[in-house]
Amino acid sequence: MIKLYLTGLFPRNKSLRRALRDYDKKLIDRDALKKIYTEETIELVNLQEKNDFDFIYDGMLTWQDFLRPLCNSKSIFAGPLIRWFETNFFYRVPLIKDKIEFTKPSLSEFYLLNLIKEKSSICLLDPISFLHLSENNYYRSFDELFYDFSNYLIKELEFISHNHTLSAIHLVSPILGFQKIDLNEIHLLEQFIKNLKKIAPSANISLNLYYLKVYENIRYLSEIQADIIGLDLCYGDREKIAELTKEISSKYSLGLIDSFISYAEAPEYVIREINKIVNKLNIKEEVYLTNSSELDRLPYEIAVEKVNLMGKIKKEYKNG
Amino acid sequence: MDEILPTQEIGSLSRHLMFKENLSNSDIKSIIEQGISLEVPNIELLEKLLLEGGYRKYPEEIEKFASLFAIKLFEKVGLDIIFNGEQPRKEMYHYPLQFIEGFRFVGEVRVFDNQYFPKGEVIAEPKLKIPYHLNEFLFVKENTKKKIKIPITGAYTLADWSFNTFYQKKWISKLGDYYKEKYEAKRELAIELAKKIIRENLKALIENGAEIIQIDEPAATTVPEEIPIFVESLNESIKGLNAKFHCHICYSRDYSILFPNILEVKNLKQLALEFSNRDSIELGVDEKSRRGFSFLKKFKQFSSSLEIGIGVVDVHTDFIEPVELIRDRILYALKVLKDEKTIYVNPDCGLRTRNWDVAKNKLTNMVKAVKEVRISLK
Repeated sequence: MIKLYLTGLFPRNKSLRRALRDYDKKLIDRDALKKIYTEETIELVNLQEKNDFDFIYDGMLTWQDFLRPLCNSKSIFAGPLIRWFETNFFYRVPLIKDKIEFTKPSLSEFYLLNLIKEKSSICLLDPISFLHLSENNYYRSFDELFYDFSNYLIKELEFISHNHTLSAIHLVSPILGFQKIDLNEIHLLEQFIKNLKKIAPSANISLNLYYLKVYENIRYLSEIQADIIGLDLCYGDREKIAELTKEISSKYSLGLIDSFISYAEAPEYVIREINKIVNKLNIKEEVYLTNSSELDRLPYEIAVEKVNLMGKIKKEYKNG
Repeated sequence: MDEILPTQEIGSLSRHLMFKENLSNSDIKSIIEQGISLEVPNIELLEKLLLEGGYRKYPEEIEKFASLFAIKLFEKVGLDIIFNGEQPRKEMYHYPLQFIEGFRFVGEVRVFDNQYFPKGEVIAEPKLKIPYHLNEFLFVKENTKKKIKIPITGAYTLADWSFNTFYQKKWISKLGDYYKEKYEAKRELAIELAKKIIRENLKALIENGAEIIQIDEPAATTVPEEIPIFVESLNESIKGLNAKFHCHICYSRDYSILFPNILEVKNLKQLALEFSNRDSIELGVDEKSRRGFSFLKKFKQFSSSLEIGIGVVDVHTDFIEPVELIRDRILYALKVLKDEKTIYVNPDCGLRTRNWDVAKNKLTNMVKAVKEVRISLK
């Protein structure tokens, strides 16, 4: 059985892009912009519902990049523009300038969860990736920094989880896919996920490895104990990844919907690839299908086409 | 070049207000006042054209006037090497694609924050319709006595910023490895663009007197494994051609991945890179203050033959870098590289996202800082 979900920033459609341009030029006010955000989020939620997605998210349409919403505290500031991995998207580096402490919730404002009726999920960067992509100008040790940042993040997520029933929390981990990290950091991440399960016990925790082309971290994935391991299967050597990920998890999410190509994959091609990997990984239970990495690298219309493709694949797979 | 530390622009200024539709009377007044202060000739004609419908009715004339405004601005600021602020070009990717068969636009994709660019898709073998920078070069040549450098978007960047549908479909299932198929498809596209599009443009420019040409390759270091594709495509574009070639690269995670491969490009004379975006704004010539320029040490180790264009002002902020800060950035580069003859001074990148006042103030301070350093070296 195939289940579906999306992760990462979803592209904004034409009317939202226009509204943002108008807002930047002060031609419309914040309320008018908020109205457009609401309309476009509802449209995206409907698109996922129509295609029978198993976890539904808001598309993160208000997010400027994966890190910016966490640059709102007194200790983390948005810094210079830096290339986002091997893409032509640029993010602002968070500059950590002071001790990170939770004062009041602010992350919740960036999730439009009230617009999702059921199967709500949220998506965010895992703390290891966030800190690797930041510039630390305050802490002397990574452990100390991680401790404060993960506590801060947990408190933000606790507030969200307290106010909304979350069926899934999707952690996106480009760093785990893209570069080798220390075993110590794996243990820190493991502890973070344990804490996450405590504050959101009914939510499935997925860990999604974007840009997966460095394979050394794969052997540690079973230690992390995420409920679902998501694999970007469009970036590195697909066969090798499948070989290395055998028996690390009971639930896999296959990132076979390529966020870097402009045409929707043929359903029969994707089904063939799913079957190949399911056999290789000896998956007995359900398997998830997801986007390889964030769909924001595609124009909106193509991303929508890919979401519809995922719905079609689920239906065809069910029908044998 | 007569002076040491020649100053240059990387390419673009924001598109001038005169391109706007439905200009108000006050818009026209401010354009004319600016033209007078820049000493743009035939300003009465521009006023007439703007009053009679502007860009919509007289696109070629307005493009020429906008180019003249940019030329005059660069001259007045005192840059040594100039162009036209890329005024006729809407954008560095969108513009060339209009002159290449085999591409179509499929929608807008985000670059950062709320900034988007129109993304193209390759649907057939690329073919050049006409050399697309010749007219603007001839116009600049007619209208300045300064040295001219023509920026042209390189083959690898055109390939990297496009969806490679045609070649990916050609390669799919050929090698039994999705990653390798995508790589070979990308290589084929980049080399085709280099041979059939970029090289043909360069030949046309050189035949008409172009002496300095800057290949813009902001995407060059995007995918480290594809550096060989970038280098091969650059080589195919410029090998054996008789001009001085610069290559501009910016916002890299790590410039050092260019080496040693980039040294294989025999005809390349200069790398012009972005540094200030990642630098502090504190004064000083120590490593901590100048942390954005840390790559210079590696550059010195790697390269004995290339000149370097150092980005001394950040193009993504309206903050006008004080002369002292720019001076210290230049002094730091001199301290590390120890050879003033190989250093050119420029902004990090094109100034397209800044308004003309901000761009002018940044460039003015850049030129002042260079003058201070030149005096201090005498």
